[in-house]
Amino acid sequence: MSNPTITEEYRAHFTDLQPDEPEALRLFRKAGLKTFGKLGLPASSREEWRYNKLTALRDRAFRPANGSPAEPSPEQIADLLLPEMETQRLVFIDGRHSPTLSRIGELPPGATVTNLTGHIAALGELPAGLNSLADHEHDPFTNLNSMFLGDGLYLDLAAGVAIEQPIHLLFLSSGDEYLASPRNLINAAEGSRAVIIESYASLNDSAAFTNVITEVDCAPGADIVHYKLQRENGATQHIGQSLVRQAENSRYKSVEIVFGGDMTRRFLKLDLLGENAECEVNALYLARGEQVHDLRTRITHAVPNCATRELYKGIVDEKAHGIFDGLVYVARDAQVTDAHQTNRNLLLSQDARVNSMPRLEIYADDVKCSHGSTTGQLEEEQIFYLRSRGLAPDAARALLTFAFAGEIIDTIELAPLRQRLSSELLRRLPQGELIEETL
Amino acid sequence: MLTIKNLHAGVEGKEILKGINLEIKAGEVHAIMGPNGSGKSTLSGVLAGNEAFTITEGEVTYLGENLLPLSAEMRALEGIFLAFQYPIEIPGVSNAHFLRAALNARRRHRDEPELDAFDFQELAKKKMELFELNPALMDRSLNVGFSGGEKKRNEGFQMALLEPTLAVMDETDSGLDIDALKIVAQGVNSLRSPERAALVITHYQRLLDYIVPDFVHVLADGRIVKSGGKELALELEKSGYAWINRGTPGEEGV
Repeated sequence: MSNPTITEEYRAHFTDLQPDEPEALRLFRKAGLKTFGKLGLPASSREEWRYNKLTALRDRAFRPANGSPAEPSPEQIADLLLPEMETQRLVFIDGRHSPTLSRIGELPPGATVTNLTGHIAALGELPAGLNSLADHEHDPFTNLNSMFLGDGLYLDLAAGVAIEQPIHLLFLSSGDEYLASPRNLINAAEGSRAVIIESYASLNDSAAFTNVITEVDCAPGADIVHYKLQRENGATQHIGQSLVRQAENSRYKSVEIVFGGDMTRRFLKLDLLGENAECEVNALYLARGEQVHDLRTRITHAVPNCATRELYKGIVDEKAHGIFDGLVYVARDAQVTDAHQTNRNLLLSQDARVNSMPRLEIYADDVKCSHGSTTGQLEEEQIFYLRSRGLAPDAARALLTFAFAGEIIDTIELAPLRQRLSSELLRRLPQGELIEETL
Repeated sequence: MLTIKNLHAGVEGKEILKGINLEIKAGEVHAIMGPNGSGKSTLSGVLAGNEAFTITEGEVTYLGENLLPLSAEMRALEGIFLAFQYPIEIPGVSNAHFLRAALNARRRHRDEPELDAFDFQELAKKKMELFELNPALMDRSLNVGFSGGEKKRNEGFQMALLEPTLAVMDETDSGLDIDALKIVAQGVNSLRSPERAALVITHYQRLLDYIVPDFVHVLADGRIVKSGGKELALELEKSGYAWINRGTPGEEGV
């Protein structure tokens, strides 16, 4: 059982909130409160929390932001707004919508792009799909999110609708021990298409807790590309879940880039429920200092003829800790499944640590599945080859490390975003400046 | 240019080179031939500064300076180039990025202005033609997915681009068909000049038909057991290496 005082503190924070909102949402929060009160924080003895002890979350309760947020000017956050790209943009501060920083342009008929609580207020009831994929029965963080539900994207695409400009969700944290509880809901009807950039950053160096849930429902033939960028400051606790359901012939692609946070746990649950659905899920985590980057995936092949491509790569330096736990589950009926899962980790220091748990569970007999995991250091013979051409050892190491990560960055289909993350990666790598001119 | 005196070296406590003596002057091409396990690759590794090898005795001077304390990269900057027997594959590092970094490191070292991407591309294109390499390989990951012949030609191309003072070629002919061999040899010959020298290490005489050496040395069990002119290579081709224990090629009984 977890520390009951923390649960009580969250309960007290809840009582302090008196939002003026539809009854349906109030009941939704209360249900969250009730279940969270029962569950508390997860016991660290449980298998899925064995390597990530959530120390900072057990210390104290973070409080939800109250009153109106102190908004930065657009100039202050100019770079975070991805000025090089045309986007549909929603900005949130400590989980609350900022209309002044958001900018939604013209949309095709049949597309709704708005903030979730605004949509609920207009609707007077909860939208279909809310909590339909998240585990609101057993998962404490889902319930913590529900009780303090902040804001996030509400995206609804009618059949055949495509939004060409990427939808950029920028979640900013103003620190100050705030708990932000963003919630995104994406309903993509038959044959619809969108690209989403879900991005997290901090406005300063102070501690915060971000606890986010994103639910994505892909109807037959829908095509969703989903980039997730975690660049919060090194004092932030981040728990993020993406829950995805795919019907037949749909495609879902996810690229997660985790640079920031003190502790970051990203969970991706993906259910392939219709034939010929495909998913491609990639991630890059770069952990330095004493950062913990914990990435978990649960991919279920429930029906025949679906495909999974999963490539998660970690660079772990100094005293940081990387965790990968991935399961591909192939049900008995899921014949002709084509699933490949790979986790590769690069250790850059003696004190860096990695736990890698790739898993396949296969109950069908006609499948093409593989999984693999490697954790190691840079190869001496590669370093020597580069040195023998005149590159300094540090530059050789930086170049090889950059190349290791580049494999994930290269899977970003939006060229400006790819270039941006490539240069950012270089800035964040040890000695990255040594090779900047060559790239 | 290069003087090796009584060089002893090995790996993991096992002595492989047991007293090598060799003198290479500017403008000369020397060939080192020898059977497998004679120490050919150890010698090239030691000259290039591979720290996997330990030097236990002897000295090496290059351009009048003690070579042995220099790091691998410093040797490269000072003009030593090793063409690898097995070029290393490096996924994610493009040939172009890598070579521009290498070339500019060398140019900085010589106080020459660096080349921008455009000038580099022009130069690289010219040098690639020399080795009949597809220009598309420039944008591919270093040696990844290259055929055996492409890898060796890529080594030759790198050498032509970096214009070394002393080129050490470690079994460049292995894995090459005769056409590729001619291409590589042509490229190497185009680099020959009175200021430069080359050490060509090979198991077979074949390469030396195209890169004609001034001197041939036979390496056996970590020592140079015989030296001579280019005709020595032809004798070796006829009689193989089995004579080594007796002292002279051609005296091998049947």
